[in-house]
Amino acid sequence: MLFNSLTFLIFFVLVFILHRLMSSWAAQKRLLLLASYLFYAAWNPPYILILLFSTMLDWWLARVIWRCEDDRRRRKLLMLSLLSNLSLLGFFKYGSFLLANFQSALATFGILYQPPAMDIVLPVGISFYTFASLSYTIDVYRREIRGDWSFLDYALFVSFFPHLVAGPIVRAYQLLPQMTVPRRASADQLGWGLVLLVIGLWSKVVMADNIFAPIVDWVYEKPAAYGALDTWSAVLAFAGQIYYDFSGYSLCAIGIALCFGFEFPDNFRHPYAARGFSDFWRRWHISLSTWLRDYLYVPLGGNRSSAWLTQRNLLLTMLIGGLWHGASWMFVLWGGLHGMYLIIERAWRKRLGGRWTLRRNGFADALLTLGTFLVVALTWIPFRAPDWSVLSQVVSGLFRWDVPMRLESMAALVSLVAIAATVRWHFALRDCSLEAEFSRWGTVAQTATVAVCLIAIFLCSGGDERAFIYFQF
Amino acid sequence: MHSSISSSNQRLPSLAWRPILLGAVLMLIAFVAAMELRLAAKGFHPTVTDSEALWQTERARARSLGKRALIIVGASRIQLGLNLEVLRRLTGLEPVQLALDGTNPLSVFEGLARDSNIRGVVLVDYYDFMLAGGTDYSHNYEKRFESLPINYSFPDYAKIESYLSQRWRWMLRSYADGAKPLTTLLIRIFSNATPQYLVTLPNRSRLADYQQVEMPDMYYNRVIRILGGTFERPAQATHTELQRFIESQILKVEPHDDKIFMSQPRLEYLESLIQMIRNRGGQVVFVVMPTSGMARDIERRRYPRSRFWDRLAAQISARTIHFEDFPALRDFVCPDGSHLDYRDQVRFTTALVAAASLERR
Repeated sequence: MLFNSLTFLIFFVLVFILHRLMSSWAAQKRLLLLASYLFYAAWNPPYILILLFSTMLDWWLARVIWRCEDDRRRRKLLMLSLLSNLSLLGFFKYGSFLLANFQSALATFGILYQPPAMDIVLPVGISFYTFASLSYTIDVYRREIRGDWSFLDYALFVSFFPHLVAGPIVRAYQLLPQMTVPRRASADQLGWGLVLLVIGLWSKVVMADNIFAPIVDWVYEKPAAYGALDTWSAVLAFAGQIYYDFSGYSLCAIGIALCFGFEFPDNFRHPYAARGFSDFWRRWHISLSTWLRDYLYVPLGGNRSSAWLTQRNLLLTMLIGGLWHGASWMFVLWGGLHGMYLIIERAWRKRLGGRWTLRRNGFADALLTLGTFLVVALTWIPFRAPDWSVLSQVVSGLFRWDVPMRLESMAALVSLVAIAATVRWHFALRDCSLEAEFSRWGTVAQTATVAVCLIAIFLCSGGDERAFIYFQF
Repeated sequence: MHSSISSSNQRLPSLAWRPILLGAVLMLIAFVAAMELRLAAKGFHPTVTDSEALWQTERARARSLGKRALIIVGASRIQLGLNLEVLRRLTGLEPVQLALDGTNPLSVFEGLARDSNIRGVVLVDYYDFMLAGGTDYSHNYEKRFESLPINYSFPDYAKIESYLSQRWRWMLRSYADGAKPLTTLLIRIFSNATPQYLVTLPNRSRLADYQQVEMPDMYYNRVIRILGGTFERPAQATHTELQRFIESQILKVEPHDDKIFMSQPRLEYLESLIQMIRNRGGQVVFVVMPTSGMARDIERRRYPRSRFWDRLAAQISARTIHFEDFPALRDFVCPDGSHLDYRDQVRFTTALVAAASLERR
């Protein structure tokens, strides 16, 4: 069920009304759990069994790990949780990919291997709920969180519909404690939650789907036919599309959760104003980057050992982070490039040492920010390209200055102005939150902003229904 | 230990939410109302989008209705020509509109014949090129329907969303003809777009109001489309000159090769499809919908009755109705030469039901 659908609107209103009518906290939680499973079943009913299996297994394992005093047994139980969750993820998400690569590897040695087609349908959101669920067993193992939560609380934490299929990846320590205290949204939570929902839908429907997506789709469909101006427009447009699509989903999720009295962590913090790549990853998909940092980079050794090992840990973390997005070498390349940037930046910072004072110099600061944005935008090419052929055609298209522009000039201009305005907006609000900025405005400006978003959503509605990009991850 | 992750809730703005949210919603309502009033004043009507999802829903309904179904297959002529409410009232059957604009009805008819659940009346909008076959988008629609699970009528997310979306569009002129409201605003409100003459109803039938369009320009355009070919249309010709030019082109139209279109194996194949439906207790009726003026002249020259329709009518077991053979059907005038105006729908539907002996018994 998409947030930008009429079905979801009715679903949300019904669940919200029923939730408000119920006085018992346990009944409210049961309602939200039932609604979450219904939300998931709307996509493919049999796959709720996978979600249920993963939930039951981790809930039970965490209880045993929590009670157990024997460190070796606790470690074995944690390994069981990791293995079972990652096996499910591996089978559904990477099964066909691994098989195809195995086939190619054999073919290079002249061995023809033709296994039957696997035809696996990827359960939507499996990467998100697997990571959420794993955070629980790992934290219980580390004794950072209790392991004796009720099944209702735990199942609701894993499946709570605002974050279930495309994040933010809410960690057990962030959401489970909220299950213990009866929650009813305050006026501020409800008001701000609804505003976030409207802004999130505006981001998705107006910006991602109507301003940026057409430019991106045209060029990436036949990249060889377009010249440099068109290709640059599409590359910059995709930077806008992916940001508004995913941050829009996150805003909707945070807003919807607030309407039920729950708080989720921020997932984006003006990422296109980042000064360098480590700063970018503190601002982009924060819930994933912190998850990878806490459960992968730090356990690998982080930056506590030699420079070489730190670089290895960074690269490995980013490669796995890339692969998390999908079973394709394109995502691995994208993750690998970001890993390389982080390594280079780290070395550069170390070399500059105390001379890393760019923040005090406005021009250099703007230059660094724009440079970071440009490299990030170019690095989105492998993320968007379905294969090597499209990737190479888009990259060569960036230099085909002799080919005249084919894109509709007004659409391309609107898209370029929109991405320039986005970068400028991020730059202006770099160290400020959306809440703080919105609060600064007067009531008339606040009302007008929400009204303009609503009117723009209406004007851009009724086209082809596009799923959120992060649904496939 | 976990690093701290700030959340929206920790910095919740404390504002006057009621005036902000109510004010914004009221501004949205005022904007939509203003657009709707302006569109109404310009003569626009709400329509549903004649999408594949809507067609699939109707196709599933045809399957589930059994003997109570009156299934209409064909192209735009029958989609614009029949009033489904009148059909329902006169026949006591449940009409299901499966006609698809600009398509050959054969693919859908084949699908219905092979579908063991189709046991009602099938009304086929016959075109003389029907037996030539070919794969247009109706073929893809039918194939995709056949690939769906048999219980497709179960209300899943896609069906619910399609239904709600159709209902929502049916309420507002801003979505007329499948447009986005932004397109409507720019083209229909801020500039003078062509007036709307076609309305698609939720049951997939269509109303054409030819008083909304420039005549005879539209008529000439339609006839030229039917003529096809690659001749050059005279630039800046008067209506009389254009009429003479088109007439001269019509005189050049040669009959199609009936040996290909009406070969014995093809006729036998069509008869086998008809028999499949009849063996399940169903009925099949082939109808040639009215055409007039130069459009009729082209069809007479291209598909002479004696070599096409009459041979078909003689060789198939289905009931056959050619509008020229029935006094109550022959006098309709198609404003664009090829389709009936909505004002004629009720009278035509009533006459067709009588001609096909489909009255409620």
